[in-house]
Amino acid sequence: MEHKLDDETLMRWLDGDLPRDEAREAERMVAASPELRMKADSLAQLREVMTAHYGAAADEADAKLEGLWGKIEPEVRSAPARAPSPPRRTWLEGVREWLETYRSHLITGGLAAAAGALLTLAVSGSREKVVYVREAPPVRTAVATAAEVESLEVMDGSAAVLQIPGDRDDEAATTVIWITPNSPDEGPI
Amino acid sequence: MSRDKASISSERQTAGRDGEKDDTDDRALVARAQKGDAAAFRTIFERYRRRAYALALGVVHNPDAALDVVQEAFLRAHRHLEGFEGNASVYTWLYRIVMNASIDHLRKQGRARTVDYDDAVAHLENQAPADAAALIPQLVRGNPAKEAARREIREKIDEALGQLSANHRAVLVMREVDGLSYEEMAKVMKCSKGTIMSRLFHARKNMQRFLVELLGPRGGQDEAEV
Repeated sequence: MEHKLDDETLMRWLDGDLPRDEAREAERMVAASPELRMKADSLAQLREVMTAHYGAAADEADAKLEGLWGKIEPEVRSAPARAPSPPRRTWLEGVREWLETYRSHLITGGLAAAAGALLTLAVSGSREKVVYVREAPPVRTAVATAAEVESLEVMDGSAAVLQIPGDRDDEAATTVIWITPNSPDEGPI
Repeated sequence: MSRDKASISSERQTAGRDGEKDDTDDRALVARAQKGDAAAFRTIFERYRRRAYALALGVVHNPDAALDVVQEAFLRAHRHLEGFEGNASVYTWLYRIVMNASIDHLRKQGRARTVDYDDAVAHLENQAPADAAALIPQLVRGNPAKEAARREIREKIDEALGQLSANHRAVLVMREVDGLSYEEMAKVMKCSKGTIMSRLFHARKNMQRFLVELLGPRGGQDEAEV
């Protein structure tokens, strides 16, 4: 099977830096690839060389290292106790601490403010003018219609209501009241 | 085979320190030292002097200078004991002081490299063969780890280390010798984990190449197998 493990991932696997799933996959790939195995071996060899080299160097210097204490000790013994200073607070931690301290004050104040706001709304609600902005309704053209007259009583005569419709659809009708006197001499008014 | 590698891997994660118990113990020692207990500070010194020396030697690449750095680092550690708040591991805190003292030493000597080491690596890569971007799938002849005790071999290894930058030697020591994690190394060197991974990758690759050049490859059989 062709391996796809790049050198950096191989290195991370050897260093124990890969997540468990990826490490398992890397292990499978290394097992399947002679080249990856050789790279892993050569890295292990490098590790052994480095450990042996610096170990031997430290062995050589051990006596001198032990002697260093003689140079360090006078200052250690003469120095006063160095208790840790209280950790420096960041501004965020300061705010958080302030909130912790005054939490009850804040809650009380918040509730009072909310109650006040509700009361104000309730009192001023009736006088409040609410303006709604909405789209104007479409304009309807008023069409004049003839007055409807159920009956018409006229002294000393009779009357009739006539409606003459307009010539066009949008033209209003004309209402004519026709009065006929009882006297045959009088014409229509 | 791969299981061996996995066990090496997990072993290295805890190598150089003895687990959480010692870490707690370290903190207790620091707490006592903070109260003026010189014996507690001496215990810390005894526990870490060799590792501090290896790191200092890695950076300054000179045994006498490394001793000076260790002395200076422990004096600084004692002067700044109150600065240890217990959030970090004692060895991480101490290594950082050793690293700073080592860099200060190089600066005083005028040997500090101010360029980032990836630049230095790029320089090395320009001189290297075309396949230099990869780790070397090659073993060094014989058993160099065993032979590293021999003076002439050690001199060659030292010569190879001398061709690396101080930062590359430092990551090699912290990872290979002390088994620090990438995150711990990033804290010590005050850089990102990505930078540590990059430095470590290039340091290993270059060191492998120098070792093969100085000690010679094991032979063509292994290469033929690839």
